[in-house]
Amino acid sequence: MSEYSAEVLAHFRCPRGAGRLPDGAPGTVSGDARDADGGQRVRLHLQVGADQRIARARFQAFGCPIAIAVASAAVARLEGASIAEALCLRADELARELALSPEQAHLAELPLQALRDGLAYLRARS
Amino acid sequence: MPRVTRAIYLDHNATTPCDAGVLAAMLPYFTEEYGNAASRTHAYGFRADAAVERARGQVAALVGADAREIVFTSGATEANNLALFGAARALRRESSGRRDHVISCRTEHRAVLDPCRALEREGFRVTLLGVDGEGLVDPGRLHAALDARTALVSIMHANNEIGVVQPIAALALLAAEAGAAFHCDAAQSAGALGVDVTQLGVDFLSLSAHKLHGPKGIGALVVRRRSPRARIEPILHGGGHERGLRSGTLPVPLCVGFGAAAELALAARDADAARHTRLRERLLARLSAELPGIVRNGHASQRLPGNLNVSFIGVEGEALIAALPELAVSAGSACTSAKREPSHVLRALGAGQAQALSALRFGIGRGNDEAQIDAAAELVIAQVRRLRALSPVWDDLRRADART
Repeated sequence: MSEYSAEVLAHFRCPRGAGRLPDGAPGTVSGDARDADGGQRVRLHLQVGADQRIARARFQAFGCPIAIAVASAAVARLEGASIAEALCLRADELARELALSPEQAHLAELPLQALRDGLAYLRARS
Repeated sequence: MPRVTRAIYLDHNATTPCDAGVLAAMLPYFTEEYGNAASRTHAYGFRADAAVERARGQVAALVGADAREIVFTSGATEANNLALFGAARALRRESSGRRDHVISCRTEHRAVLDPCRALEREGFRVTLLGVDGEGLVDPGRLHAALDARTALVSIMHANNEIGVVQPIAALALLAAEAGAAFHCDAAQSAGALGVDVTQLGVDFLSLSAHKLHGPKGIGALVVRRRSPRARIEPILHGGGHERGLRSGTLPVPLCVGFGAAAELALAARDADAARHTRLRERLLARLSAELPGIVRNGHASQRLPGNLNVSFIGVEGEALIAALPELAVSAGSACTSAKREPSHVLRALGAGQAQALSALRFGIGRGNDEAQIDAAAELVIAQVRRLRALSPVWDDLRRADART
C-alpha cells in the first residue's frame, strides 16, 4: 500500500463531503470530470448562494483511492469559498496537500475540471 | 479501520504457500545432499540424481506422463517460452519453412502472448483467437483458423484471472488433424483439476510448482515422446542437461520440492476441488445476497474450483482493494495490478471498461475455511456499499433504474 501517502489514505478512509446535495435545492449545480480513458471520474455538487459563495460542496468519485482523496480534499477547500477563490485553487496545491508523487499529481486536476464544468453550467443557466 | 497483522489470503491463483512437508523434503538437499545431479563420478552426484529422478516421476504421475517426458524449467514462464519458441522454430525448420503459423488466444497469460509477439518479429504469422462472453474458445473458431501452414497451437487449460477451463481435448484434436503441434499452459489447473496429457491429447504441457504448494523457481515442460508433432529445439544452450532441451545445473532441492508437492496434489486433488468449489459458491452466494449489481466473470461451471472473479459495478477495483487491507486479493491479474490498465482478459470477454475496472479476483485455496470466507464476504460487502455511496457511476445507474 506504499503507493498511497498517509494523506491520501486518510481522505480515502474518511472522505469529507461525500455524496450529493438534495435534488432541487436552490442554486445547486453539478460538474463532471474524467480522465482520458474514463477510468477515473469526479463529480462535484455545489450550492452557490446569491453572494457568489459556495455554501455547500459535495463530491462523488469513481476511481483509485487518489481520485477519491483529491475530490475529498477539494471539497473541504471549496465549501465556504467565493467563486473567485474557488477558481484560484490550483492542482499543485492539492497534490502537495495529499503528498502525491509526480506520477499521481495529474489526478488533482480532476476536481478542478469538475468545478469549472459546474460553474460554466451555472453561468450558462443564469 | 482495525489494524491487521495478517490478511486473509485469497490470492491462490497468484501463488500458494509452500507446504510444510514439501519444505521438509527439500531441506536436506540444501545441506547434506548438495551433490550436482550431473556428477557421474561420486555418490553425492548419484544421490542427487536419484532424488531428481524420483521427483521427475512424481511430477509425471500428476499429469499422466512418462518421467522421461518431463523437462524441468525455472517455472511456467520458461516452460511456455521453451514450448513457443522451441516448437515453432523446430517445426518451421523441419518443414523447410512451410509451417510458419502460430495460433493462440486473446485471454492467454502474458508468458504466452509476449512470446507470440516475439515470434511475429521472427517472421511467424500469429493468429489470436477471440473468446465468447464466458471466456471459452469455440473449437469452430480454431478449426477456421488452422491451415496447412500452422505449426503450433497454444491454448491454456485454465485461465489465471477468470478460472475458465478450455475444452482442450477438442481443440488439441483439431490441431492434430491439421498436423499442428499443440501446447497447453496448465500452470493453474495442474493440482486443481484432473490433468492427463493423453486424455487431453496435447504435445506440450507447462507446469509450475508454486501454484500447487511447491517452491517458487521451478516448473516443467512436458514434451510427449510418442507424438510425431512434439518437435522442439532448446532455447538455452550449455551443458546439455534435460536431454539437451534445457541446459543448466538442476536445482535439486526445488526438483525434490516440486515432486513432493505434485504427489501431495494428486492425493488431495479431489477433496480439495470439492471443498474449494463449495467455498467459492458460498462466497458468491453471500455477496449476491447482499449486493445488487455484481457480475461473475467467466463461465459459471467450466472453471477452476477455487477461482471467483467478480465485478462490483460502480466501484473501482484498486479502490476496493485499498479499502480491504484485511484481505489479500487482486484486481484483474497480479501483473496488471502494477500497470493500472483494464485486464486484457476481461476486455476479451467483451466486458465494458466499467465492468473490467471493477473486477476483483478471489483465489480460494487449501488454507481457507468457511469462517474466513464469511469474514471476507462481510468485509467486501461493507466496503462495496461504502464506495458505492460515493460513486457517480453507481448513482447514475441507480437513478436510471428508478426512472424505468
